Amino acid sequence: MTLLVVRLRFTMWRTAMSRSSLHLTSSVVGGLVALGVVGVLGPALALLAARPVRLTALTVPLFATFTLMWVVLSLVATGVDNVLDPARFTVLPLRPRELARGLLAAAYTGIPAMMFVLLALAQVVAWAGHPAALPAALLAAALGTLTAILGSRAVTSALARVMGSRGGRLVGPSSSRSSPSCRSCSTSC
Amino acid sequence: MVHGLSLSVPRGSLFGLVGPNGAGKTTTLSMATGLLRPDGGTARVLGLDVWADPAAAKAVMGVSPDGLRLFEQLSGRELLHYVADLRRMPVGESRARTEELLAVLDLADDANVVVADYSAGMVKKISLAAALIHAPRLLVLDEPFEAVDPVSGQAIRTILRRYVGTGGTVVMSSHVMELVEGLCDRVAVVAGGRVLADDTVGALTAGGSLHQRFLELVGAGEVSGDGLTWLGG
Repeated sequence: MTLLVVRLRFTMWRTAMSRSSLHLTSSVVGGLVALGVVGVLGPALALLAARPVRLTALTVPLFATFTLMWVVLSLVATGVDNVLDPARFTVLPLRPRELARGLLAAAYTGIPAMMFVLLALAQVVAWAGHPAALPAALLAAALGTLTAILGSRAVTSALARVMGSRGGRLVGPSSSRSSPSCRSCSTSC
Repeated sequence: MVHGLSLSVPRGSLFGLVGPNGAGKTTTLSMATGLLRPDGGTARVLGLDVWADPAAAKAVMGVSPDGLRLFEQLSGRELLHYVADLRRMPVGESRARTEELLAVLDLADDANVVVADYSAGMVKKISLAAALIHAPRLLVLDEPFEAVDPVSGQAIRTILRRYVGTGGTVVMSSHVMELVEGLCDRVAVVAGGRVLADDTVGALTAGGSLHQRFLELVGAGEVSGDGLTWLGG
């Protein structure tokens, strides 16, 4: 079931790419930016290992900031295609636990999530010289990625519900219900 | 808003739910099918308590709610394949049924078109196909004929009658009284979140038309003669 949800996400992603050049461009650009960010921040984080412990400790506030930023940024990004909205599965006989597992696994497969996992690993590398701190760094990496991914999913889904409701439509167009032509048009309506 | 509403649908019947806009039809159907948790009360489907185990109840039901959010980034064919897979159907069977459903509902030519590009009627039809693919024992359809062309409408009527003939149960809401009168066995009139009438179509209409009976029950006021004089003046 988990694998099926991941496959479903990729099929929808592929279709979205092939249908709209805007979508494709934004994904390619997003991917390159992500690669750039990881390419600069990752080694920078890992290099903190060479510094005195006091500087290595900078990984803590840095990684915490990335986690928070990720939740906020993904709100902007996934607003475009919230393909993993649990509301789409309501008529299907899936138990909440198995659906949650599938959605979580699918959430890890995106470019931003991959980027975040790489940054989390860079943070682990920074602590490689301190055997005592290494398990804690690993645990922090796991908890950090989970927090960022679950946090952003929760916020996006909550917002999707508000935007889909009658009140929310007054505030702004619901991205999930907007027509395909609306999604690909670049003019501000 | 729905208050102390109680309805029971006999197995093997085609049950129509009618009522004015905002009467609580969609709310009632949503609560009975495990889509909207009620504050109180129970919903039982084929002996299963819907809210005690929603997944088990959803496995025996086919639901096509109004405004259902489908995976609209998929093509019609992909959508049916994924719905069947998510319902754990054997692949061979689901692929064969997909082609049959697409053909019967006149969607075969658009099977590879993305659902987001479908017209309103086509969305209704693919949503119905998605509700039928696992051969449920109960079908719950919200406005199944809305925006559907007459040819497909006839196909859907035939499907529903044949389905009920083989022991299936259908609950459908509609605003078209003539359609309910001609198609359904039983009908319930709901207004203001309450059941005003619940009977066989024959007993309820008693020789008259359902249209007339409906207007009497919900107490429709005539548009007063001197209103809207500027219109067409």
